[in-house]
Amino acid sequence: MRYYAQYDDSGKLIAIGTGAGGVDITESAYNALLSEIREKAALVDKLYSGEITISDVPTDWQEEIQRRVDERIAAEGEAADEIDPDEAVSAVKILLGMEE
Amino acid sequence: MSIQTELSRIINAKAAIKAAIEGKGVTVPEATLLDGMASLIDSIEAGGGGESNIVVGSFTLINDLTTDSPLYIDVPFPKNEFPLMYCVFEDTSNLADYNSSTSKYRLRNLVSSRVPHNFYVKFYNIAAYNEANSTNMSVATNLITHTDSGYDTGGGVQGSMKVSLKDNQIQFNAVNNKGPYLVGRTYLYILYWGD
Repeated sequence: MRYYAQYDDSGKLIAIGTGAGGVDITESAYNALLSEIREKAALVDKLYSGEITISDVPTDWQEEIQRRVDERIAAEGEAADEIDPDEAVSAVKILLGMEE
Repeated sequence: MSIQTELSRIINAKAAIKAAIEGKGVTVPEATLLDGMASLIDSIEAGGGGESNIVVGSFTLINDLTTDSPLYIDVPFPKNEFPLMYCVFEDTSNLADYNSSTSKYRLRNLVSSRVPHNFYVKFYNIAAYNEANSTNMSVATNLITHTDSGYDTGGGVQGSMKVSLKDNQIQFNAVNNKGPYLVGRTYLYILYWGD
């Protein structure tokens, strides 16, 4: 099986995977990255939900985890301002008495 | 080497060539001499006689997809070929690792298939999902769509991916930034084409 690392135009690592694409990496490198990615994602989820505090995050990762949580909160704030087309149609129908 | 040894070597080689040709789906008549093998080899169809081709792979995102940061993966998909089907689905083997309260959608299948429809070629797309800790699968509303051109799937469930095939790349784009968040999840994809 082929393992790869995918970088964006600025050279930032954006994904890892198997199969086609990206730059070859070893299986051990892939597994190490995968483990770290999943562990960080879990910490982001837990910090976001309040299940843990930033002090529960390894020191080396605190800045990154906090930034990602902040980005998620910011993105949701922006998304909340957006109008989903389906929701808009449904709202109009309700206002016009076309559906309950 | 003796003449007998050389004859045995040539006879064995001819038998091996015959077996190899027949292994590619071309029958070799018993009376075929060695100098007739070349034309039989020429008759072997490229790609193994009309077999379909398939590309499979996976990806795990370092950061979540956003509308400004897509993921494009180069794939060995021949130009001028029509994909018959491609789909992306989440590897849920790590289901227990995720906080279900923030990850509503655990499985997301985006499938596009090419089918003939009234003399046109249509691409039928579907997005299906199931919620965390649930085995019931739902079809996302308004996502069974068809298009006349291109290989885009429906955008689907809030925050899910739009999957496209373009310029020998599978392209994954976020529909919007509402979530659910895809980082850390492993997605598997299958691209299939052929006669």
